[in-house]
Amino acid sequence: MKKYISIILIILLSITSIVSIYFNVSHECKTIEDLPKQEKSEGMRGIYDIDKNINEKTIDKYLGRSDVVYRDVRMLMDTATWENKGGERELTGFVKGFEVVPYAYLTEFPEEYVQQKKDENVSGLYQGKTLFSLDENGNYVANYKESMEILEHIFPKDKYIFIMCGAGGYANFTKQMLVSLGWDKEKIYNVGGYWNYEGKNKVSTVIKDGDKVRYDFSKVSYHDIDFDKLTKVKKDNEKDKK
Amino acid sequence: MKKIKNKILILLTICIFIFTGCQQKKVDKIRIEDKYYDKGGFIELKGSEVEELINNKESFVLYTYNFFCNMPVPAKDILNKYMENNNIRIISVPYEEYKKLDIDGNIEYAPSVIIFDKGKIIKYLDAESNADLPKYQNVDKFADWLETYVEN
Repeated sequence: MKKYISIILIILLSITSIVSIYFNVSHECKTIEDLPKQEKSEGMRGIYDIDKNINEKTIDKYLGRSDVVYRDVRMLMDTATWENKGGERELTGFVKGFEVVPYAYLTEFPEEYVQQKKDENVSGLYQGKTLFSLDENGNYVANYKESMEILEHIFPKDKYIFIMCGAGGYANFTKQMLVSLGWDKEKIYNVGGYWNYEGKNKVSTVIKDGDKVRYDFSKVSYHDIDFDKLTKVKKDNEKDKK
Repeated sequence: MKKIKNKILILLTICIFIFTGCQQKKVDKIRIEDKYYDKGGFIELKGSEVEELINNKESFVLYTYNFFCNMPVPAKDILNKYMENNNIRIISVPYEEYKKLDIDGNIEYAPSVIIFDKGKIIKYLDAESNADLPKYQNVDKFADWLETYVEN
């Protein structure tokens, strides 16, 4: 009798262990759900290549993933006179989890874009030092020996990259640049613009002090690029930018 | 003979139903406030000023936009050309200000052109619609759309 009870107990214990191991393993495997495949939005938002499934309206569902890096490509304090067009220069807010790295520091603005803004009475677009420049054929050329290394560090190729800006335009420019330089297009999502975001993860930098307004950028995770410490690549028709 | 007559009657009845069902419901054009039938050009307003127009139940056309981005052909250029040709004025407000307004059936994305009739939205261009995309980029297509709903 005792022998039979022991055998039954051993069998029950084995079954319990097997079931327990199975559920633990399957839970670990299913921790990260697959991202929806890229699908371009329709209409004008599609022209910016803003994703239909992962964008300002749905981004809260996809924050905090270990397989994604989140980048906001606006400047903390834009140099352009956006106020002439009803806008503002300061980064007044961002989505929690997004780290700021200005597109303006990655590469120069195309000349037609600069002119388009001037026609709209917006001047002063950043024209200082950048990691890359555009050659006469529209190809990106590194200005510094470290340019590609820095880009790969900010936008790691082994992760999904979610890019946001004000309305989706600069995010689109950034995606185009990365793809042109060899990044996998399928891993880069333009998730749209902060101005359309109404989720629960807004972080405001605005501090109102009576009539005065100031901005607390210490809240922002910011990728600073110290161009003075980088090694300039010598070019034939190099011009010094200040 | 009687059977044939019955069949013709039935066929005629069906045709009448189809014909009346398929006819497009005539769209009543609205007239915006007289002050907007003037030499063309945007009227730049703040969100609070637009709210006043809505509370006063005014009829007007409004353009709301993002200030950073631009299309290959900026939507603002299309609207400017339309206004020049038609002596009509359109109110413009940055989307950042517009979205703070508490409006029924509010617009999700900018840019958009919105037609208000007595303070209520009756039609708008959707930035996320393929069907509306040409209206942002071509003056004639924009005109066709707007003049379906607004007297010029």
